[in-house]
Amino acid sequence: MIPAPNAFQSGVSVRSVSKSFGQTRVLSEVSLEVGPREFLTLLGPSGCGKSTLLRIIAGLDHADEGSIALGNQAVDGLLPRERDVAMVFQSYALYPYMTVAENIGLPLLMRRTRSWQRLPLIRRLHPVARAAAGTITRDVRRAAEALQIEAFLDRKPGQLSGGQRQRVALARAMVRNPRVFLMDEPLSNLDAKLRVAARAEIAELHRRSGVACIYVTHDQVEAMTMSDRVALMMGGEVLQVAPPAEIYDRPAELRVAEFIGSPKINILPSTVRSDGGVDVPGGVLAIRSGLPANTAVSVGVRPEHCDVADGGIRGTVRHRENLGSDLFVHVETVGEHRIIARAAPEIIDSVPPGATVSLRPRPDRALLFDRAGRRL
Amino acid sequence: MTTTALPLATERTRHRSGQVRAEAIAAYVLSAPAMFCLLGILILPTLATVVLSFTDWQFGAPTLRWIGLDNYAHLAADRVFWKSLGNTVLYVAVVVPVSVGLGLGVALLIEAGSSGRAFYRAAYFLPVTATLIAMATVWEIMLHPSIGLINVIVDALGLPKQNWLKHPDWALFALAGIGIWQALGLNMVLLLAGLKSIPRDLYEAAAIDGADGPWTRFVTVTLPMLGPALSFVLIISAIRSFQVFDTVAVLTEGGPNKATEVLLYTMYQEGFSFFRAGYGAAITVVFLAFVLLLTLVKARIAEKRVHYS
Repeated sequence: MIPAPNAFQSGVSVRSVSKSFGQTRVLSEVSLEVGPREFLTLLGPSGCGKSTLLRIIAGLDHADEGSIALGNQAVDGLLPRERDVAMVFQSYALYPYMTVAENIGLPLLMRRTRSWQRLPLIRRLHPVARAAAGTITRDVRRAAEALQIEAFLDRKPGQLSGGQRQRVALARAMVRNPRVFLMDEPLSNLDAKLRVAARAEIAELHRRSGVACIYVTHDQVEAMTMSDRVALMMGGEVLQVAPPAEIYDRPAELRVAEFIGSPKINILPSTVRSDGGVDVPGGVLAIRSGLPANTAVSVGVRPEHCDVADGGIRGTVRHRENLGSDLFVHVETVGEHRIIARAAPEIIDSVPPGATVSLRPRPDRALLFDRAGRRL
Repeated sequence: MTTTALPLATERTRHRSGQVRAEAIAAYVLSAPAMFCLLGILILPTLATVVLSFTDWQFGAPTLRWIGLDNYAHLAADRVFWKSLGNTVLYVAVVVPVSVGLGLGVALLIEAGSSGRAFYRAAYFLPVTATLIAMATVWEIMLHPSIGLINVIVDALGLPKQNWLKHPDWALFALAGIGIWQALGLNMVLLLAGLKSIPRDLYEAAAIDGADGPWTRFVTVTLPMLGPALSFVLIISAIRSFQVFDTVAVLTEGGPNKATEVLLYTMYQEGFSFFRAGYGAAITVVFLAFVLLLTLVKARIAEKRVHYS
């Protein structure tokens, strides 16, 4: 097999990068390794510093401390152009006065011609400029075909729909072979249906390109469905970097567990019993924690690991959400703790609001966190 | 079936047309006050001027006579008029590019600068707020052949001193200089607003795409995005400099030897010094034709070339 041009380069290394805006520290000592063909998502709530980190990697912002390397080369002093990155902006940042073809072709035009060759008359007459124009037209067409926008090449961005503009922005990033794709919430301006289609498409395009991709989003569904690994950020720190399944099943700490998953994970303030089980509000869980008796812990149970079945935590049904495929039952237990359990929609009539039900969390899937929020 | 359906249909149409008519009447009634003002203040005087330009009316005279195109024939043969038109066009041709170019330059510098923005903005805008007639007197002293600051500077640079406002080759350019000084601030402020409205991420996209040199960035992002503001500024300053009058009236009175005779000043003299109102009206019509032409050009540009996203 012939390796792609980028196969031997490492991806992106972020080494203890810190950044403050005035008094606000937005990134503190962030380190991250992205593999050469990896799709890594920076996931976190707004204001967690994920976009700033992306901009620092792109060279649009500068780190106060730390360094960035792309493909084994430190790029800290380099301009965005010299870093050879491609970026898709949340707003798409298309040039409104250029046609779609000119938008997609601009990165090539800037790299394949000198500024004097772009002057109006010389552009038409100079052999080098004309040859470059030929290769640019060819490559633009190829990128446009990959994204199925070749019919719009002569239009202006203003004449396109949101989804089409987003494709043009993707095509502009993919028209050359950059060292890394940087995407800053590229789907957040699309409607829900388009977003689902675009998710699959971006993941597919990334696989074909074989180039590392760093994808910023606050949408955990995007992170879970598209990425090889997810880096969960909060308050300017990376809390955990792991594949989607691992970050969901084995979150490193309480904040990660609470951010990932919808509906949110149930957190129950609990105490370890002398017999090894755990006291939770309204019941006892048979967990072998191995912790000394009377240790205060938080037990996390995801709704799908909490069955509506006899002989468990007793509580009152307060609310039901029927999604058709799943039924979420909101149950209030002792001390006004709310637990959400997932059940089959068929049982909806047996759990009317106000009814007393029993919930049985599966002990093998329960997560234990210490007082500082670390998983035990 | 059709016989019963038809009257119903026509009745409904009649009812609907009655509604439409009522709406139309309401629209006219509601817009009447504005239309009345527009007519009284703008349209009627303009029409009156056009009509006057076909008469031999003298300012204050009790009678007038319809003389057709005589005033225009007279204009076509009038050397003062042609001189005046040529001077006006030359004045516009100097003031517009220089004041817009410098205005853009200053706006770019202020936008790129990190400190003192408000100060520079205010400093360049001051001439716009000043009364031009009073400022013209200040300029008269600055341009004074023996005590003026300009000649002191010119002399220090080793260049020949000039009697700027009295020299037939220099007078119009001296007035153009004052015109530029006055127009610069407004152009700067308008273009600054235009610059501020350019989304930052376009510059960032350009930086990543490789269009990051100052010149490349300017021609790829700034200039095209500034299109609407720039075309507006160009037309506005063209119209404003076409109206040059106050500095001429205060400083040169069209002299020396008609070197600074401009359209509005000629019109003013014909109409109000020589009381040839009909002839003055004809000059005004020519002036209006030029302004109208510029306005049409602006409408055209706005339609075709400039992109409003």
